[in-house]
Amino acid sequence: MLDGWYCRSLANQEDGAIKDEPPSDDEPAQPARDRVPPISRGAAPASSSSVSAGLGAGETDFKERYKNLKKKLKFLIYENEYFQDLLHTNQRRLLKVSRDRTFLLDRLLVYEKPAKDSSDSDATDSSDSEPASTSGVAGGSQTSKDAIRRKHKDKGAPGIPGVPPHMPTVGAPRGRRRKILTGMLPANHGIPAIAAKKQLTATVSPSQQPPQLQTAPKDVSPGLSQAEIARQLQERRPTPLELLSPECTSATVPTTMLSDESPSKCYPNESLQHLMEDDSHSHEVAAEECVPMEYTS
Amino acid sequence: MLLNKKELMYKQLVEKLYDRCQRIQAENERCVMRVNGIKKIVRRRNHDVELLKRRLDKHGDDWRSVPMEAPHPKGKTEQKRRGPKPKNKQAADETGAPGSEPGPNTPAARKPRKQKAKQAPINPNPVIAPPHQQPQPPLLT
Repeated sequence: MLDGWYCRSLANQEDGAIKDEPPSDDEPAQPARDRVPPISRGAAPASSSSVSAGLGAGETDFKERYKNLKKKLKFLIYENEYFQDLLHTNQRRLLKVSRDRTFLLDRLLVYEKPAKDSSDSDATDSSDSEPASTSGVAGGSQTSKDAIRRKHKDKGAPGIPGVPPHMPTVGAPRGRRRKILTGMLPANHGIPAIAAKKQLTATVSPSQQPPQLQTAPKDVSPGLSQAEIARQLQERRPTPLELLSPECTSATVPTTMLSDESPSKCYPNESLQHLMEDDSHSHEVAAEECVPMEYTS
Repeated sequence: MLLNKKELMYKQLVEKLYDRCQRIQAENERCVMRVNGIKKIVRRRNHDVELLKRRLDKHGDDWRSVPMEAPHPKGKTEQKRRGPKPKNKQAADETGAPGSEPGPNTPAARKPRKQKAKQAPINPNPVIAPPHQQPQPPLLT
């Protein structure tokens, strides 16, 4: 970056020289002299800065750490010496106390032995003291047992509240858990039953949708051909006659049989009769209407 | 190059000092643990001593007036238990022994004298050898 900057400065100076050359010949000598100082100035600070940066980085990293570690080491050595002295003093103290203890025990044994052997007042005193010590020992054991029991109770206590969230019922948890698990099974069975019902409803709904679609094309197809239109008109005409009088119906029936009309005409009459007999079966009517279409084709 | 050498030197020194610091720190921790343990034991022993004192007082014993004769041999045993001091005591015993017992003095004194006497005759042998070798050339001539 610095080199680029110096190059630009040199370029600017050269431009200045070029501009100054045409007016007079004495001026070119001055820019040549001016060129030398910036080069020397630029080189020295760059090298010094790089050297100082390198030295500083290295020295700060290791030299300072070395100094700090020396201080720390000194402190640790002093601390170690202190602990060593403390250890020795405590050891001596321990030896002293242990010596005193052994001495006193030896003295006590001298008094205790004859007290145990003889049945004098000393013996009674010793017997009084012994049960006290034994009672103390028993008390300690009892306290330990009580502590153990408390621990067991404490262990039991968290177990009890744990049961209700899992099993609301109370009593023998294993047996009732099994029963409830068996009870849960029908609930699980019930859920798939409900799912089955949902599936049935799902199956029903798509079955209902297709007939709606099927009805639409039927409405469109009759309008296409003129013959079909004529048939519809013929079908419409007899209906009021049949409704008005039943005799007309009987008259029309034999007339058809006697007249021996074409089979195409016979079929619409039959379709009308079916309509009279079974009005609820719209699907069958639709199916019958399809048949004549086929004959015409 | 010089800068790199200095950096490497400082780096090595730093590593060595760090290791040494770690070791001393660990040793300090161990000492602290030992001191705590010993203090605990001392506390228990003091409790036992108090109980024994009460019991003896009930019996009416004059344990306080008993003279302190026993600690002398125990003191020696204590010193023997320690590492550096028994060596010092052994050296003291060796120095004290010649003054107290004249019998063992004589063999101790004789042994170094014999060694010195042995060393004395060995020295003249190499001295004599070179003059024998020197006159041989003139005889040949």
